[in-house]
Formats: sequence, C-alpha cells, structure tokens
Amino acid sequence: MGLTDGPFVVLLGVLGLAAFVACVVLLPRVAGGGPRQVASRAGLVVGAQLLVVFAVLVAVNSSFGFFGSWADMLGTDKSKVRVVGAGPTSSPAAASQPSLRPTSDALSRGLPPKEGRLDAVVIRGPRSGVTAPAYVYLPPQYSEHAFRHKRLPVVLVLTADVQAAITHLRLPSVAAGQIAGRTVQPTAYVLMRPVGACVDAPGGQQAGTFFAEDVPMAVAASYRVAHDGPGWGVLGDADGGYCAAKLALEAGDRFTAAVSAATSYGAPPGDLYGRSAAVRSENDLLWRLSHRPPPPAHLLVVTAGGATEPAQQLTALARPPVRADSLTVAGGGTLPTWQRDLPAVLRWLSGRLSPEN
Amino acid sequence: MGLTGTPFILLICLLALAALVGVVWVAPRAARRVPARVGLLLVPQVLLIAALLTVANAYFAFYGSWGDLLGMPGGSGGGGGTGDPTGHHGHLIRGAHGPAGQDPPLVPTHDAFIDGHRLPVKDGRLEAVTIHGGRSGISALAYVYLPPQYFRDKTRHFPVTLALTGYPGNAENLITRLQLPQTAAREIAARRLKPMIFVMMRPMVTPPRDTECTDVPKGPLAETFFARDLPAAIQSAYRTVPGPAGWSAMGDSTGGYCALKLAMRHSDRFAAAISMSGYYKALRDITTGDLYGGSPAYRNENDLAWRLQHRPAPPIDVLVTTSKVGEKDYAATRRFIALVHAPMQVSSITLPTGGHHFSVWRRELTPALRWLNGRLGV
Repeated sequence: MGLTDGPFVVLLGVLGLAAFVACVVLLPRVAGGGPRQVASRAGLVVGAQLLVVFAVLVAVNSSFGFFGSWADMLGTDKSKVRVVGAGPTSSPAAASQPSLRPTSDALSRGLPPKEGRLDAVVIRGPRSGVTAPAYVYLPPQYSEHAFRHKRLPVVLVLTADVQAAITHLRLPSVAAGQIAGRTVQPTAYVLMRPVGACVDAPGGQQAGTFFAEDVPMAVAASYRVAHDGPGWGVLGDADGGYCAAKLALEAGDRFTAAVSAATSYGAPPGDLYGRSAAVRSENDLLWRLSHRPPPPAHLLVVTAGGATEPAQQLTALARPPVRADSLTVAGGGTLPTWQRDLPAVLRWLSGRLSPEN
Repeated sequence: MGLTGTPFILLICLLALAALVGVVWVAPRAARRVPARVGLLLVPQVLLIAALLTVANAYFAFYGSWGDLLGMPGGSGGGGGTGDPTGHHGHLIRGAHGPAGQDPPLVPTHDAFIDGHRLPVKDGRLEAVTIHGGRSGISALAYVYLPPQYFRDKTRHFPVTLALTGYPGNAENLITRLQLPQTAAREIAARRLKPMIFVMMRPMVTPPRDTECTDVPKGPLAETFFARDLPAAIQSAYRTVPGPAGWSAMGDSTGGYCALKLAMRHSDRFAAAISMSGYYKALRDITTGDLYGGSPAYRNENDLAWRLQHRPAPPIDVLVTTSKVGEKDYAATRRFIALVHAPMQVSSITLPTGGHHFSVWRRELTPALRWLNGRLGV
C-alpha cells in the first residue's frame, strides 16, 4: 500500500483513534503495582501513543507531499538522473529573435544626410506580442570613427502624432543642431505612438511590457545604443506623458529619466484592469506616489497648453529620491507645438543620461 | 532557544519522554474517571506529536526561527525583509535608514550564518548582502557565492544565477541542504560549469506572507523586487555579464515556480530557468491570501500554463523536474511540457520515485547545473 494513498492514510487514522480509545478503556485493568502490570501498562500506553503519532505523520506527509513513496523515504532509488529534451547545448533563444525590421519611407528619406539618419522600423515585441511602427533617429556622430566604441544614450519619444514631431517640430533637425553645438550629447531618438496606454492589461494587451522590455531590447539589439536604464530616457505628451512618467517611476531600471506632459496622471480610462480596483490603483501614478515608497527617478514635469493641474498634482506628491523638476512650455498641449522649448527639454534629458562603452 | 537548534529539539523530545513515563507512573492513582484518563493521555500525545513535527520542520527546513513561524519580520538569517505593506505608513518617509530608495541598492551585511560557513579559498567565497529595492521598497537578505575565478581575474565579468528556496524556508537551506555553492564549486573546478555567481534567497521577501514572487495589487511588489531591483543591485556591486543571456533563475518548490515565472514574464532579464518540483498554477491559499487584487484575469497572468496558451512563448530555455511516483505535480508537469512551443525550449528530469524534499533536489542539482552550463550565452 502506497505511503501517500488515501485508503492507507484513513486506515491509519482509524487505527490510531481506536488505539487511543482502547488505551483509555483498558488503562484501569492494568493499574496494579506488580512488575507485570507496570510492563503491560507501559506497553499499552506507549503502543497506543506511537500508533497515533504515526497516523498523524503519515497524514501530514500525504497532505504536504514530502516523501512520495516508501522508496523515496528510505532512499532506495539510486537510478541515474537524466535530462530529457533539448540537446546538451542550445544557442540562447533570446539572441535568435529578430524583433526589429528596418524599412524606409518618404519621411525617413526626407532627412538631409548631414543631420543624420532616420530609419522607419517595425518593432515586434516577442514578450508582449505587440507590434508597432517606430522611427529611429541616429545623429551623424553615430557613424563617426570617434564614436565607434560608444553605445549612445537613447530617448524614447511617445507622442500621438509622430509624423508632426518629425515634419512640423523637426525633432531630428533640432537634436542634430543641439548635438552639433555640444549642448546635447550624441543621442539616438526613437519616436512612437503610445499604444495601449502603456498598461499591462490583465487578459488584454501587454503595452507596459512592450515599452519597458521589448522596445529597449529590440532597439539595443539592432543599433549601437545603450542596453540599460542609465542610458535611456523617455519623453511624452498627453497619453505619452502618462507613459513617460509611468515608465520612469515603475521601470526605472529601464528608463532613468522622463519628461512628461500628461493631461492626467491617474489611471487611463478603459477596461484595462481585469475588473480590479486594486489593479487600477497600481496604474494611477498619483496613488502610487502617495502609497508606495518613492523610487529613484528623475522627472521633468511639463505644464503645456495652460493645463497646470496635472503637473501640480504630480510634483506635489514627489519626494526624494524622486526628483521632479518643472517646466512650463509655450505652444499647445502637444509635443509638435513645442518649438521654443524643445532644445531645453533635450538638454535636460541629455544631462541625465550616460552612454555605455 | 532556536526552533531548529539541537537544544530545543532535545528538550522537547525529553519532555515528551518524561510525560510518557509520568503517565505510566501516575495512571493507577490519577485516572479513576474517563475524562481524567483522556486528559492524562493527551499530555504525552501532544508532546510526542510536537516533538516529531519539530524534527520534521528542521529536516525539511521550513521555519528557520520562532520569528518565521510566528510571522515576525526579520526573524532569521534567511532574509529578514521589510516590505512595504499597503498603507500610508510613516516608515516610508522616515525609517531607520531613510526611504528605501535612498539606500544604496546593495549593502554588505554581517551575518552569523555566513560567518560560520566560510568556504575553502579554492572554492570561492560566500558573502551576505542586503538588497534594498528602490522600486519595490522591499529590502531583503541574500547570500552571494563568488567563484574563485572572480578573485583571480579582476577584469572578468561573470554570469549570474538567482537561486530561490521554497516557502516557507531560508536561504541557508540552499547551502546546508541543497549544497548549491559546494556543488557549483566542484563542477566549476572540474570545468563542467563556467565560473558563475549565485545569488541565494528565499522567495518570502515580506515575511510572513507567501507572495509567490507576485506584484500584489495594493500589496508587496515582490516581482518588481526580483525582476527589476535585484538585477540592477547585483550589477551595481559585482562584475556581471550584461543582458539576459548570462542570467538565469533556479529554485525548488515555490522557488521553482518563481524562477520559471520570472524567466517567462521577464525574459529581458533571465534567459534560462530551472524549476525543481515547482508548480505552474497561480497559488491561492491561507499563506498567500489574495495576491491578484480580486481579478481572475490578473491571476491568469500568473498561471504559467495559461500563459503558454494565451501569451507569446518567451525566448527562454527552461528545465523542469518531477517524479513519476511521489510528486503531486507530475501530471501538471507533463501538461506544461506539452504546451511549450518555440522560441521557448523545455528540458526535463523525471525520477521514477521521489518526493518534495532536499535529498531529491540534491540528486537533481548536478545534472541541472550541467544543463545550465550549455545554455549560458557567454
């Protein structure tokens, strides 16, 4: 009978109970003083008690599943341990994943070569399952001899109208000018739309994982740019502003600094939280700042388009080691209208990012 | 007196024995009525069971101290963590060491267990450190094994394996019972394992709660601690290879589930995992409470078999172990293996018989480390 079999456990339990009752009933019959009586008494008490203990141990073992069998308990199984499945070695699966596909389009070809290079790419996130287009801007220094061993820092730019950020705001050209003037270190910029509100929705789209894991991994695998947090910053307006602050506060190992101009730092609307108020709270940045220990993060909280309240709410809750600087930009609420202040924003980011060697 | 120490175990065994002798001695006089006899017999009975449970606790290495057993934080050498619970706690602003995020991420720590378990110099070195998780707000003790090569070549960078024991349990079990650093040192010396660093911890980083390495909504951020804070802290203090290819996670029981989950949910940090007698479901029991904010959907996200059916298979290599007879998760393991698809790769160890304890895991450890050696992309 197996050590953990139900019938065995029940049988022992019944036997243990019966032994205890028998002991209680029979004890007066062996209450005498002679050596035989004492020996019988000792045998009765010890026997019954050990049977109960054994029953309890077997029941506990069966319930928790420690020893699986008599052979297991006695250690008689000495068979050779063999690994079944893949061969003795395999190439790391992570390396074999092409997750960024460069293409080119009219927009990417429109950048004058002296201002650097603009790639139109599609990023396929192997972890999130999210696929999204992006533009990658590389400054002229990227292909210069002096930088051939440097992995440039990266700024992820999250804005609804990526095209306007390139054609109207001319972010690549402004960056090229700042870099040429040495007020901004040579930096790569990845421009994307903030898909899925950057939230990992239980049972739904894993947009948080996409931006915090897939995008940095894919970009660093395809370009000579920083792999990890100290070299990565994020800049976003409106929904992208929420994303930027969220990434720096929750995934600071991936994004060390953020410029954010959100219209709200509360949990984005929508069925994104698996019908859980608690999950929703975790995606409310104001809740997090007031209920969670502050993480090490650099924020530049931007007031844009005259909406002062969101920035004030966020900065009021920031306490060390969160460092929250403030900036009010001219222009409207969205990034493509920030012509006047973009250089200052890029300079602030540049001062907080470090290249990798 | 320590819960697992010989003096306490000896004391409780002696008490049980004395009670047994006492009952035989006084039975004729004291037990005229049935209730009195029942009460009299229960005394040695309870003591005997307590004695054997104490022995079993020490053998299976569950609760390392009274603090662990009674749920007091910072109980024993296995990692006295201070997690952030849910509320507006004053200690978030002004603790003994200031806010968690302002502590350096990794601080060398004096630890009586490590002081008493020095390795021979030729085998490398064991250190005790406290990891302060800036993003999770959790601080926990870890034991770090550094191979001898770490001290010979001061420019070399090393792969890292995070090793987690079960729940309840202590990090020292990985040294005293699993003999992980000793086995690794032997394999490294024999050139069957590349020199690597092991970070040994218990998964219970906010004692006494069993968080299953989960980011609990409005609760402890255990997953953030292991997947974000810990790699950054280890990288800041030791010469480690960058990127996930050199990083793996391993563990037994709850630690096995955690290792597998960390690799599956954070393949940007861990490219391989070993789960010894781990399970695949998102646990919910008396020690865990509700870890999922009341959301079945979030619970699914933590169910590893569900993930394989509903989420992209991550780019990782995993090894799972079970036993045909004696391990409850045999069927679940077969099912998990059947669900794995590319780019994820799965290997397995299936013993004919074997239960849920360290002698079984010790048998599996050497083959598991050799398996791991072939998967390090460094």
